[in-house]
Formats: sequence, C-alpha cells, structure tokens
Amino acid sequence: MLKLCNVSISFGGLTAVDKLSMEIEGNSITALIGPNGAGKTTVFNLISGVFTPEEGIIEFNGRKISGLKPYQIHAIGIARTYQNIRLFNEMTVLENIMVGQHSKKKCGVIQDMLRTKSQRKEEHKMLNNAMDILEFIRLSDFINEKAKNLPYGQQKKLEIGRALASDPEVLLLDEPVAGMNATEKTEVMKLIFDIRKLGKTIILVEHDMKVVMGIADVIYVMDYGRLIAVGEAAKIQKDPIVIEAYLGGE
Amino acid sequence: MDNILKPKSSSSFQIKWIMLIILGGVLPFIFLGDPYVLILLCTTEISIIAVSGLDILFGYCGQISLGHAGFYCIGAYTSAILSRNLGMPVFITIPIAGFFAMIIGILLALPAAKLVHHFLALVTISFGEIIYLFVSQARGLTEGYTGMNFIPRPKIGGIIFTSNTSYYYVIYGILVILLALKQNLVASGTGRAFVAIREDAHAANGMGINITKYKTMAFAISAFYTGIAGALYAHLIGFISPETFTSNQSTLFLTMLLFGGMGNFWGPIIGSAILVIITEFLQKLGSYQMLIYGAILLLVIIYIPGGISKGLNLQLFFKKSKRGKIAC
Repeated sequence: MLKLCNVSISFGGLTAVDKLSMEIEGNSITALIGPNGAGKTTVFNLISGVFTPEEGIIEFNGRKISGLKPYQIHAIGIARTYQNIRLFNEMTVLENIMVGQHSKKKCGVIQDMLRTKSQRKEEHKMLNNAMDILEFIRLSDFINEKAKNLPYGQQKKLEIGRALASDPEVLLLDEPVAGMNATEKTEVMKLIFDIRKLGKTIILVEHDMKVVMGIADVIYVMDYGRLIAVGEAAKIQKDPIVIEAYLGGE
Repeated sequence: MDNILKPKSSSSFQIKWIMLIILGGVLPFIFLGDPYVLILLCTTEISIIAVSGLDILFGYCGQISLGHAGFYCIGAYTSAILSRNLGMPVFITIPIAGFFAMIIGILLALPAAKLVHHFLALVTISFGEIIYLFVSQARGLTEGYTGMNFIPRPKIGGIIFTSNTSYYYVIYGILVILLALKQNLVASGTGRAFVAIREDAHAANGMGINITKYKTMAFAISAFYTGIAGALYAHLIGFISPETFTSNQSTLFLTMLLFGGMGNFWGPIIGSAILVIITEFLQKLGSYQMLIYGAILLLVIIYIPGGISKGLNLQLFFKKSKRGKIAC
C-alpha cells in the first residue's frame, strides 16, 4: 500500500537516503532500525512530506505522494509522531487531539464564526471522537490538563493519540518508547498492537531492540542512508551485515 | 472528576457576556451623558475592537504585527471617503471599510505569511509606514495633512446618530457582535488551528493544517476588525488626518494587547480601557507619551508576562463559575 521506489535525498553533499526502496503491506507493523545517523528519521520526513525526494517516487495506494505538502499527506491518511515531542504545549490534552482531527474538518471559517448548526454538529462529533481516542490511549483523566504539564511518558502517548485522531491508514511513529521505563514501554507496545487491531498500518523507527523484535512483522535495517537488510526479526538478528553495522566489523 | 469537558464556547450564554452587556449598557448613565466621558467610552470601545483584531492575529495565531495602524487607517479613510464624498449611507460604508481592510490584509499576508519573528515585524512596520505615506501624499483622495473634515454620523431612516450617547450604542452593538464572533472563532476548529500554528507551526503542518491558508485567514480577520474600528473612529470624531495613523498608533494597540493579556476574552477589554485612560492623563506630555508606553510595555513584559487579565487570574475566576457544566 505504501511504496518507496529508489528514493534519494542529500543535504549539501551528504547523501542522507540513498536509493531506498520499501514496500509496506497494509495492517502490518514495520520497524526501521539502524545506527544513529543512518537516515531513519529522514525517511519519515520524506514520507510525511517535510522533504521532497530528489530522486525516486513514493506511492500510497497507487497514488504518487512525493512532492505533496505535509498537510496534504496528512489529509490522505498518513499521520506521524515526532522524535522530540512536538505537542501544542499551551493547549489542553483534548484540544491537542482535536487539532489532530483537522483534516476531517469540513466547516469553513464563516461557519465557525457564526456557530451554525452544521458547525456545532461537526464540533460535537469531533469532541466525541476525541473522547474515544483519549479513552483508547488511556489519557481520559487529563482532558483539561495543558499538554506541557503531562509527564514525559504521557506526552509521548498523547502524540500517538493526536496522530491517531485523523483516523489515518498509516501511522509513522518516530521512537515511540525512547526514554521510557519498562512499564511504560510495555504499555506503548500494547497500544501499538491495539492500533494494529483497528486495521492500521504502523511504521516505526526505534532503537530499543527488545521492542522492535517484539512487535515488528518486518524489519528494515539502514546504514549510511542505504538499506542493508530486510526481513523478520529472527532473520535480522542473525544477519552478519547487520551485526557488523551495529558492532563494527573485524 | 469534576472537570469534565468544557469547550469554551459551549455554554452559549456565559457570565462574562451578562457582565459585559450590563456594564456597557449602563456606563453612559453612570456618567450622566457627560460628553467628554462619552467620547472616552467610545474611544475605548473602538480600541477594544481594534485590539481584539490584533489579538486574533498575534495572541492566537502568534503572528506579530507592528503595523495595525495601517488597517485602522484604511478603515477610517475608506468609510470617510465613501460616506462624505460619495454620499453612501454610513451603515453600509462601515462594513465596506472592514472588507476593504480585509482585502489589504490578504495582500499583506502574501509575503507576511511566509515570514516569522523579526522579518515579519519588519514587513508589518513597513506596511504601516506605506499606508501612512500613502494617505499623507495622495492629496486628491485624502486631502493629505490637512485632513478630512465633516465626516457624517450614521443614520437609519429618519434617525441620525448625532448625539454621542446614541452613537455610543451603535459602537457598542458592533462591539458585542464582533466579540461574540471572536469567541466563536477561537473556540472552533479554525481557532484551534491558529493556536496550533502559534505553538508549533511544523507540527501543525504535519497535523493537516495548511499554514499559509490559516495565517492568511488570521491576517484577513484581524484586518477586518481593525478596519471596522478605524471606520467607527472616523465617524465618531468627524475628522481624520494622517497624524492619527502613525506607527505610534500601532505601538499603542500592541501595548494595549500586551498590557491586558493576549489570547483571551478580557485581555483586549482591560488593556484598551486602562490605556485609553492613561493616554488621557498623558495628553499634556505630548511626544513624551511614547516614553511612558515604552516603560509600561517593558514592565508588563518583565513582571506580568501574561498581561493584567492573567495577572488577576480572571480566567480562573470565570472558569470556576463554569465548573461542572457538561457541554453538549
């Protein structure tokens, strides 16, 4: 459903992503791993439209999406979280989720200002939907809390919820368990499984191997912007090229 | 858990509206229609409209404007020229003035929506200067530094709003409508998009918000409000000249907003009221006024960064009365 064909991008002579091809199946969990600086987050930025690939194309359900702006890509069903939390700090937890539903909004600014009947109805629907999502990510107790006041782990979860709010087909999670303790990690792993049960496709970048091996159906390993291995957890763990990339050869 | 849902707009008739309506309606009677006080009250209300416009742009959407006197000026001259020179009814020229300011706002947003921080500040400063220079030089249209005189008061059917008391209520009605529209806006999806852009434009873009479109929208609405305020001002005083629309006026709007508090209902109201009074007392100081504003601005930014309304915790006070009310 999501296809990257020979995608490349470079920044001032440094090739961050080099002829990368990926094919992601629907309703799967795909992990993207690799040493620091391998270009994993750049891949996310390419898929979500922050960067436009210099070469190659990205297709989503048969439609070319490379070259679209981030907000357009979000609207066609690819939502993401960020490596360094990027919540709307001064907004409440509920409002953060409701911003996440922006792509679903149909009422224009005039209707918003006049609070027409259809606008109230839409707002009501968004509110209920947001409440469901908060229940789903187990943050219902913090509805009116400002995002910046949440503890780190909850902020990470709120970001996942905000991405989920638009009911996307594909969810890109950039290091969803970074900096969490063991209990929180288990919680997020369970959450990711639950999200897959909703029929969503998940791609994650993660450094925590236990988490990656535990949840990913397919693992892509990158090093210096190139793909060095693809496969299931068991295969990747034994792959000599992967071991070399992580531990250094010879 | 007693803080269940309270989307700000949902209880349609809140205590603040009752307070505002009573306060505004009664004020002229308290001062027994004293013409001097009435002019001050009218000026305050006009300032509230202009500052509310600035609040939408700066307080909610996070885009600074140091050139709002430009929109104020456009509104004033548009309505004055249309009503006096072309004889159009004032109740039509005021909205036209607002819409014309809005179009200019959209044009300004073409470059401004792409800029942030000091670059945006510079562009808006130059916008204010361009408008000022235009009205002072385009003598055929605006009569230059001589200023425009005999700008008529509005009339409907046989009623002419010549007395300050009656015109006060015209301004007051427009003020209440515009404040209500602003409250609806900021509690809606569009308002959330504005705040999201203020908080983190990059993430907002990633959440499906078309940044350029929404920034342009904020500029347009903000310009509309300030343009309406300018038009009301022209018909209040009956005389306008370029001197009213210098960059000092932009600074004054910004001081009012920062002093009262950004991004909330009471901020523009309190800020405008206090600053209009201070301005009256400082009238004698002439050009030294700006010195005092500068000092006020500095003190507020250092000691009460959220402005008076946050300093007094007005938000909290009003929230209490809403507690426990479940929206929808």
